Amino acid sequence: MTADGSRANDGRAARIVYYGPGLSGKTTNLLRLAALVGDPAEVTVVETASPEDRCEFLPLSWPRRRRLHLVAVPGRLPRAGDRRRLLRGADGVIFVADGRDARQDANLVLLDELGAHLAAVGIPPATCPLVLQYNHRDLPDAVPAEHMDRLLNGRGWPVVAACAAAGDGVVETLEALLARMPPS
Amino acid sequence: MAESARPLRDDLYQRLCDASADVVRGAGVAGVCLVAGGGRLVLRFGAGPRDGDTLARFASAVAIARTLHPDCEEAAPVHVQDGRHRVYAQPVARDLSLLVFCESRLPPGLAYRLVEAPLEAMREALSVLVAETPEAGNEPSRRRRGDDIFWE
Repeated sequence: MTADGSRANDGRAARIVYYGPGLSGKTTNLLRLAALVGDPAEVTVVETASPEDRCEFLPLSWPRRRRLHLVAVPGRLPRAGDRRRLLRGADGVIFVADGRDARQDANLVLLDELGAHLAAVGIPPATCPLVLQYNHRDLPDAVPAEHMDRLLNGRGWPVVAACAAAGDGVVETLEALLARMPPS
Repeated sequence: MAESARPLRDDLYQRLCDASADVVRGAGVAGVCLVAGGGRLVLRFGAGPRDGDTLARFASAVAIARTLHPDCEEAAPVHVQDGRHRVYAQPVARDLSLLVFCESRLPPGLAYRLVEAPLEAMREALSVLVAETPEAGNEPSRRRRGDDIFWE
């Protein structure tokens, strides 16, 4: 099954995967959304064999929209297998890119990996609803958004600048993705 | 149900209750719940959240964990934690999961060791019970509202 949105109307919760390198702010996005819509204590950490095999999960009833299952993948490079498995059944992806200069290589590696993993789980990367979030815009070593565009956004995905720790851009990112998915 | 199946069921149910009591007696364990897909509560021993939303969230988290784990088909135990609960989940069968609600002071590794043996006993008893229970829809007239795998 592909992630072209064709399954979003079947009554189940839409699964949105927050993808990106470690410390880019995926979990912070979930915590901020939980604080806005519900309760941050409901962000649920899921671990299997070890604390390294983990992801974060948050079910949300998004206003005027639908039931959403938000999943933040583990960002560390060795957890590539976990990231691929968590993409199965995804209806949309938010790539949380780290805005700091020193993390641009990690952004590139994870974005390339995302395309390969989407294809591996049967989701055509070209049609998968995807939004880029340029996070950490408030930090002094953040690179210009134009630089990140050249580096990461050759496909012209929607971009939202964010400072997730302060809550800026978090809702806008999710709304940008939902706008690319079929209405519930 | 065949008459010969009743003693087996009674024995399995007794084993299930004994194992549940063993789990709940463990240091740092607050309670154990058996939940079906969607978070429907089937069985409870000791304490644990009663609201359906929380149980549904944990049931979904367990489903995600089974996706995450390379051996997800093996029904590996998983650890699920939010701001209020620390839960050790053991998938059983047919979309059923055992959720052990532990105190937050309990280190994950220790909790695994504490509940591993009695949880396995619970899982075994449940697996046999589930295996001999017809799939939903096979005998709809025998199911009543509120009943689940222990209907007679």
